[in-house]
Amino acid sequence: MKETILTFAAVSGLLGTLVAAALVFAGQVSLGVAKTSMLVATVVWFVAAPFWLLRGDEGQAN
Amino acid sequence: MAEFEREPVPESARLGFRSFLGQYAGEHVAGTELMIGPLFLASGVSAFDLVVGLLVGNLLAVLSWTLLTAPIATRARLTLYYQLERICGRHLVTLYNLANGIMFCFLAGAMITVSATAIGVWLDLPMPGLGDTMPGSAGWVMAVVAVGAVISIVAARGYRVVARFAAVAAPWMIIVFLAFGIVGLSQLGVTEVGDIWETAKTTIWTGGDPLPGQVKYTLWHVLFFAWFCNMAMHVGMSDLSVLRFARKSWYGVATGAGMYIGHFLAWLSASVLYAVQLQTDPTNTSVLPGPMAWHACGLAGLICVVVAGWTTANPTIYRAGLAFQAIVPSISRVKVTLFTGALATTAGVFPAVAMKLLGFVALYGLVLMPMGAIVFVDFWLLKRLGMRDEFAYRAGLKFHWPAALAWVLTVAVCLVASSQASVDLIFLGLPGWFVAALLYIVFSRIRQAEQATSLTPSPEGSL
Repeated sequence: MKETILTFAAVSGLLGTLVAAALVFAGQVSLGVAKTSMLVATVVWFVAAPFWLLRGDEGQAN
Repeated sequence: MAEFEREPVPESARLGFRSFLGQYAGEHVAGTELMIGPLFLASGVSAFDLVVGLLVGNLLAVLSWTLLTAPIATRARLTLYYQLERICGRHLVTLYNLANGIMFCFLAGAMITVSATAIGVWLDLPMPGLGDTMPGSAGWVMAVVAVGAVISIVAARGYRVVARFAAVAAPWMIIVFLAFGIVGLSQLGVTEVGDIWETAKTTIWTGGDPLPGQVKYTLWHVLFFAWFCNMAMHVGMSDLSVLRFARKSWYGVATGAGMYIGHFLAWLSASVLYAVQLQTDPTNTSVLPGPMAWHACGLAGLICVVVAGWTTANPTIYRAGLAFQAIVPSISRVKVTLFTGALATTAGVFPAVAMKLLGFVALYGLVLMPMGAIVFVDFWLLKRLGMRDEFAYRAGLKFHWPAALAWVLTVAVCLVASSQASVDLIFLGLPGWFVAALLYIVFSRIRQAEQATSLTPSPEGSL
């Protein structure tokens, strides 16, 4: 369950950045709002993605 | 993971296609893409020339990896360095390592420069212009030194931690690069997808004269640049060390992920950001990824610039350190990496490398390319021509002069041709490869005739 939530959050972080840019292109949101959304999406990605992408990779770092 | 530095990669250690797809996609979305895209625009290229040149040039690069590098990598399964040692002798490989290490330092320096432009935005520092070769302010020097110091210390102490961080950052960076392009198009007034090509032709890549100090780029320049900007890796055979882990030689097509995401999408997106800057203020011709990313995507854009520079400078400094350490093995890897980082940081202080990146990349490939031709000839042709392959190994030589002479003469001929005939270096990689191959065959014939009677097969035999 936890893994599913983290994977969903990570993918949302990626999509959030892309959707914010697309909405600026479509004239639906201001650039300021999009920049804030991209920052939030970035934080979400970097919090959630390591648990998803580096699963089973622990112990290899020096 | 075992590195198999002096033995063929065994069956059990070989990797699947997806490993290479991810690795190449991540490796080619680097900080330097943020410089190259704008420099294309500064070179006065037209939209058609840029798009067609990139599509075809990147395809040729993928084919070079797949048809030249991967077949040797998956047959010999040796690192480039060990394969060269068997062909050229240990002392010549040392010289190659020195050249390789120095080139890596300059490349890492350009990546540090890119990251420092993001710090410059935060601290509101005066930053270098397009034609600048020297650092313009103490603040800029301090920003580069600070970024370089952090990158170097991390590369020396925690390379694998950053490598894991880079693996996490790569998908996000690709998305942010895409966002750069989408937001940039919006800032140029594009509101519908159908208008993009018209805007590309009339507003972004309009052709015409290059900016002052830049070389005019045509379709051929773009095509050859896309093909040969990684010349050291494919025809230069550096990626033998990577692709020797591939189960099949066709896995070389995985490089397409790097080419069409990094060297197509990312270059075009970065170029769009520069077009926005020029439209906003035509007098501001500085190619500074930090400010451009900040205006498009805010803090997320700035973080992307820092991360793109950092995650790619990290392995570059590490590889340069390994190349230098091979020359002086008694010094610890940490010390060598710190020394390498200091060299790269010094190079990064001078904006000349980053601002002339198109020219530097061409030189970098040209200097290392002849060794790839030598490996190709040695592997496929020498035995067919009645000569012995891996001659240094068989004859117990530490310095095989036919390889050394073929390497040095090829680089010299190309540099002289470039200066005398005013031919851009990027066009000389292709004829240069044939020159190196021919010279190595001729010199090998002379050298092997001298020792034909005394040569005895190595006790270890051929691989």
